[in-house]
Amino acid sequence: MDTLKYELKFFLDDASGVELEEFIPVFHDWIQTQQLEELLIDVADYRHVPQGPGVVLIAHDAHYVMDLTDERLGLLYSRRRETHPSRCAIETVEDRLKSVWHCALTACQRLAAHPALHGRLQFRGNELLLRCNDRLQAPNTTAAYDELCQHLEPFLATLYPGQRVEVEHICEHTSRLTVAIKVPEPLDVDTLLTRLA
Amino acid sequence: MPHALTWKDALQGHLTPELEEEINIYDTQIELKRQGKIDERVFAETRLRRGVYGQRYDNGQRHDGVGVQQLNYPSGELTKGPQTMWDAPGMQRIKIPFGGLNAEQMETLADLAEEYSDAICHVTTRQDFQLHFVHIEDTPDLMRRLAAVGITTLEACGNVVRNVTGCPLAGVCRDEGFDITPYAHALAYFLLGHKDTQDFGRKFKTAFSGCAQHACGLTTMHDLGLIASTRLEHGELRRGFQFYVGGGLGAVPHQAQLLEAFVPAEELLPLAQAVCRVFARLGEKKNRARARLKFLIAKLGIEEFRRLVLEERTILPEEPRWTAYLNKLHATDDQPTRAGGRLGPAPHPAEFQSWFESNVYAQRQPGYAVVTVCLPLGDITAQQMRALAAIARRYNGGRARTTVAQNLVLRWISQADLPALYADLVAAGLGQSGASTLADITVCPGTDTCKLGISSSRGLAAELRQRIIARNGALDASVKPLNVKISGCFNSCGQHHIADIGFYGVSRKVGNHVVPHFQVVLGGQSTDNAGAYGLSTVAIPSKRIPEVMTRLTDLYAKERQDHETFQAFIKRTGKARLRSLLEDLTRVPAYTEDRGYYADWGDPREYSLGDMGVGECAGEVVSMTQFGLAASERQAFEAQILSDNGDYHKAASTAYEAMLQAAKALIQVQYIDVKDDPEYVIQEFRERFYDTQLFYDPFAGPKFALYLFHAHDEGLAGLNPAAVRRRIEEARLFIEAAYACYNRLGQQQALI
Repeated sequence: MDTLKYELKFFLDDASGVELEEFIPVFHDWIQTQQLEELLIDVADYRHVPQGPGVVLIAHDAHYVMDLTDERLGLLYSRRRETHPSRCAIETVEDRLKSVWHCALTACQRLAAHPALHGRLQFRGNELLLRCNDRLQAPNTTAAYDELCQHLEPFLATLYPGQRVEVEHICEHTSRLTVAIKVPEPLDVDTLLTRLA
Repeated sequence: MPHALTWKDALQGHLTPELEEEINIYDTQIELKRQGKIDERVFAETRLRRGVYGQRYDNGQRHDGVGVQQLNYPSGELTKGPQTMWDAPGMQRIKIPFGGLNAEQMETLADLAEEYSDAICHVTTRQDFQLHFVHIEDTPDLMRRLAAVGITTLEACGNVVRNVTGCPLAGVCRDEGFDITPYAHALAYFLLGHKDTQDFGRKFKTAFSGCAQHACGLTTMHDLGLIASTRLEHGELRRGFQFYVGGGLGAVPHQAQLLEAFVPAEELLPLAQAVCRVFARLGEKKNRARARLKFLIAKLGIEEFRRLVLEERTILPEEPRWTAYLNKLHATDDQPTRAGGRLGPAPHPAEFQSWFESNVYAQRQPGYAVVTVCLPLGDITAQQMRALAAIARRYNGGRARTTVAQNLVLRWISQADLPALYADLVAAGLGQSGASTLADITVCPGTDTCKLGISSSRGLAAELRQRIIARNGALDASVKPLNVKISGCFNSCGQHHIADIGFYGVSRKVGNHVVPHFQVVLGGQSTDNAGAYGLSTVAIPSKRIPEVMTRLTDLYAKERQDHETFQAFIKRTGKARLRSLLEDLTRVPAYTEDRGYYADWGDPREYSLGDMGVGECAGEVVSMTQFGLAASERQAFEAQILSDNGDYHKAASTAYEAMLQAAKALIQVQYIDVKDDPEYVIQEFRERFYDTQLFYDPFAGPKFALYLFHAHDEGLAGLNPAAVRRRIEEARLFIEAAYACYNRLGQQQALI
């Protein structure tokens, strides 16, 4: 599994009272204060596109997307590169998964805590999508899925200790290698971040 | 450890050898630039000619609403052009000649948008696609994947022949003279990379239209505009084109002028080539603002320009490609895959009816229709693009075309399939009605991504679109067909000059602050192939533009006489009254009173002009000789790699070819039509540069020229590794001498 391009999407628990527009000033604020472990560059506004990426925070190593694809709002973390010094130590797939989870969860946590969003956001820690955004190194095949699972399952066991974790291969022919991860019991972002540490 | 599979390996054999080599060359140039071995401007133009553009904030700075912040990109000071940081996200433009796409290409575009961009494919006003936020190091693989499905990004930017656009209804239009598709295809690929199109001072845009009256082709705003025309000669109907030249928008719009009323089809390519040669030879090269063809024609006058072009035509060396395509004109035809049919009886659901009225066009072929898929602001998600490819496969064999109104069309749809097709589009989030209506706004990227953007054209377009859709039921029927076009600056990429209601971004200083504004342009005309340009009326703060729209459309609905067009209405109403209608909207409240005016649409930062950069639309003026010399350097570099890998025979021949390439580049200073034959190049070089002593080094005399002659005479026989290494070193010295000679010639020229 020789790719660094992983995507992780955490869904919002209840998106009914949330407008995409609200994320624009928050992301600009993050750029102003360089809030994350990334070089934050720009905000792309795609609110006009139905079922689209909504609002995107463009960083050098990743994109942070308030994503409405599949008509479910959530935070999509899409890693593109690994140039930030904090990623120098990544050697194994497990290291990389841990790093990707850390970045995505940190962004969820900071969004939930941002004063402009008034504590209305709650991300589901027990339902997420993991995707390999690399059709060459991680094609959407059973073999690649099996290989991913070899790394993913032990990692998920540390994140959800003692819990039943469902991992489902989404097999649409043309999509990228994607797995849906579900845990029956609700779990919040803070707990996951603590376990990750 | 196994070697990681690369796209280069994976796609070997799937690309044409020419494109494969071309992209490999680009890959090497990227490596050379990383090593600092290519001149900044040459590399910038090299990437631009492959559609690799800069983007806002690529100078490493961004105004965050409070102050200018440095963006410390990981590669430090490494650049990809003047003031353009290596790591900065960039834009990849992808040429789609006449907008023609197949399903496999659509799927590839979707894949690339997901893997290298932000999952959005953006359709431009010239039928291209653009992917934004792309890293330069991803571009070679991106190009390989496109090339594997028959798309090239070559000459998508830079001072070259840009995408050749064409009416998306070609072949199915009820009013066209004939299908322009095969001619647009032939001209696009004939001029692509042609030696006569490599030395322009500015870009060159070409458009085809099947008729004179509609707005699909916009030929009169192009450098070269071609309208299908037929003529009866000796009882036979001959195909040809009305041949227009010198149109263009930009800050100073010009209507194209008629060069020839009827150019027979077999003369189309050579006459276009002759125009290119005259433009390359006489067009302005130093002052970019005056370098488009329109300025040359304005300077010479159309009669003199015509004389020069026709004279050039007579001396053109014959090329078989001029007419070869005429034997296979039907090769580009779309064929229906389902039987034509009739739309089932009414009643249909209201949403379908509304969509049918605005988005469906009955083809001249009975039983078939063209369906417009409306893309808000020209954007389609990767997932939607893939869904659309599947829909196209289901209903028309997998064909689509982009339009200059930034939409996509599906042709050859059986009318019986329309309800099912509509349901599929709705499921994909693509079922929006309102094609070619007020809500279907044309817009350039503006401050979202363009370095030249002054105001947020996309932010304004999104806002207006939302309000128009909300008001749709209350809008007067006369208002709905009006078109709105918005540019982020005066350069007119959003084509504001030809809109009923156009806007372009400007700014105004109010107290100590700057306020985003839009200049209101009224009375343009997109019909008759962009038949008239509108006039600027008044600059209004961005945040009050929605009120401008309401006032203008309300006035038109109220005071329109009979079937008066908006253009006629504007003319009759007069600029003075229109200005007074909008005058109160020009007022900007004080900063302390309402800060909303001091930020742009969709951007909470306090507005600033600090993010504007140096545009790359104009490209870098790099001569053919400079390109040739850069290519020779790359070959010398490759020779070194081959030698390091022990392939001495290939290394020696590559080193020799590098010298030959440098010699050829120098000859092009004096004579453009240089052949590739080595004997010919040696002979020309000897006569022009050796015998004349132009190539003589001030200290070493003829020494470096003799390296070339020696390598040419000696060939490859009996070269041992040491001799090969010596030849590579000689090639390097020869290239350096060629650069020095070129510089001396430039200095002499400057003294004249």
